[in-house]
Amino acid sequence: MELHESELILQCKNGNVEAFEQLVLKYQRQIYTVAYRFMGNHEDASDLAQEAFIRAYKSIDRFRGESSLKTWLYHIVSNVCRDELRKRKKGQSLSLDAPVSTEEGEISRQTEDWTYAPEHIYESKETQYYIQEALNKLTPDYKEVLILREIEGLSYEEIANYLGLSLGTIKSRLNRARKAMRDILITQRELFVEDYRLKQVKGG
Amino acid sequence: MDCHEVSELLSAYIDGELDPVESRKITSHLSVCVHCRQELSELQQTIQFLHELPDLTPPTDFCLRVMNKIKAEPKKRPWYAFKAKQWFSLGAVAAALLLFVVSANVISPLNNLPMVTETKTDMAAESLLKSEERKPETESLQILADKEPSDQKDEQLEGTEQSQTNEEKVINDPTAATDLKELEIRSSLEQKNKLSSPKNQLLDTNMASEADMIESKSQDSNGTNTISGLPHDYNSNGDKNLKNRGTNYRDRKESQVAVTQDEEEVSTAFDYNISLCSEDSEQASEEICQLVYSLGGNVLSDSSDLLEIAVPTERLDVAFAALKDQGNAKVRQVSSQDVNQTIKYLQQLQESLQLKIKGLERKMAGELSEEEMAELEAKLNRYYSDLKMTQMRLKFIANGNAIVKIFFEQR
Repeated sequence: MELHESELILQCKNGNVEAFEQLVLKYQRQIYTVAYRFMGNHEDASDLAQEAFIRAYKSIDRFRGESSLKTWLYHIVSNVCRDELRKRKKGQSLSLDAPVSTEEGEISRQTEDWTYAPEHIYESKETQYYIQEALNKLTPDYKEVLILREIEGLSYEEIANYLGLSLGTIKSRLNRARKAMRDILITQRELFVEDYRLKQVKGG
Repeated sequence: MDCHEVSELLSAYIDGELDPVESRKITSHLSVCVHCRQELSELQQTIQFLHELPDLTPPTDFCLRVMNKIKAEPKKRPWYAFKAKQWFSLGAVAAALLLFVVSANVISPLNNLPMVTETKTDMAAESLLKSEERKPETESLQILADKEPSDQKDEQLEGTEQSQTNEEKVINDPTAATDLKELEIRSSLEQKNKLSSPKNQLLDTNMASEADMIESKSQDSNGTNTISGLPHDYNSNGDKNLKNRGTNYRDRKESQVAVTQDEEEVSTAFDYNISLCSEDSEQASEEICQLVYSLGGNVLSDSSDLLEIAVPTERLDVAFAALKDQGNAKVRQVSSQDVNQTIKYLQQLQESLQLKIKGLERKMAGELSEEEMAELEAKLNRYYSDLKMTQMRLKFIANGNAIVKIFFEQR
């Protein structure tokens, strides 16, 4: 498989479009997923993941195999999404709290309604929805560091290099990002195992 | 350390990114502070939620659309793009500059062809732009890639350091356990101390003598230490180890160069099978899950009679001590394997699952009855969950966690 992939990359470098198609098929789920985690909707995720693959194709010559292809692709899609998010932050983007127009007039989105559906909360689809909604609410910086760490699985050092920040900054940013995420999720008490019954671990 | 300081470091604690001294301080703070334990548990669950997010399926025409765009693309720039590959980007920039100079200064004054000059400068400018635009991205990539190997080296050094101190401890330490069950846990702990924390082992010294060591430990027993006393032992040994660090490290480095040059990459993955006899296995299971989260580990699977957890090897002793609180715990089996082999095996498993998934997806794209479709979908979901599980294991093992399977037995 490894050899197979490096062979495909080589063929891409020689301009073989079909070889690239194989790689797209192999990684499209993962790349699309990262884009979705960043953007929070399928339309943007699809556009930006496509953009990422096209950029990857154009710069495949620069890929020299020092990291895995997956890491490299993750890197590109993160860049694409980050740029897009920054761009949008300046402009106006649809807010979760913006009212929705219906025939009966405007209603608010009321994401807090989640709390009233505890019976669904353990269904994984619902949970996933809440998690993504929580991600959507984070600032781009927090969202980014969480995705790099938890979804892409990068090490602290890799994140520091990628973002051009110090290890210390990454440590504290990740800590704050996780807490921000926790604070949003905690409004859904049912998600968390409550009643911390654990006795003291040992000796006192 | 007060709660505020601990709170600042919890996230790094979970990821094992603290130095051993800090990490130990936090572990001991957690053992007395419910508030921080709660916070750690919540953070751990938050992380777990993110880890559990599944990979999503892109729209069916996703690949097609990418490929259409790509196929439409290259015609635009073959003449310089492909040359630039061979020439190196400097060449491309130089060529573009030359073109620019030529078109601006030479062609346009001599020839009366504004159309031609315009397109040429455009192209030159475009290629200039392109090469500039692509640079930052690849440069940062480069940094990322370059850093990887040195990471491993650091880790390795740290690991080997510990391996030396642990070795020494096993030889000097005359403590032991009494009754047989406790002895069993203790043995596994000793073994853990001896084998697990070092990321890179000397195969000849440690691995081969694994069984001997455990046996000699048991014979040394003086009957005073019980399992609950273990973490304390561990800590005091840890302090001793710290003092010895500098010299051990040097010795270790030399001996490694001399003896095991081709075994540098070896490290060990652990698998514990433990049977736990407790009055209320459900409650025990829940408490163990909490504990695991608070230790920065993770729950891999959770069913009525089997709980599978990943625990950072450096905090395994705490986990075992707590297991003992939950009932009668016995280590049934400990297996250790070269991490690289385990990872290789899991990667193969992952690939075969991915192939199966691909095959199924292809099948599902064809014409099928609703029943067949439902059947295949169920199968697909099963594969996906297996795949997820495999990937999780891969990640935890690669991050230095031991996998512990706890089999619940009725009293």
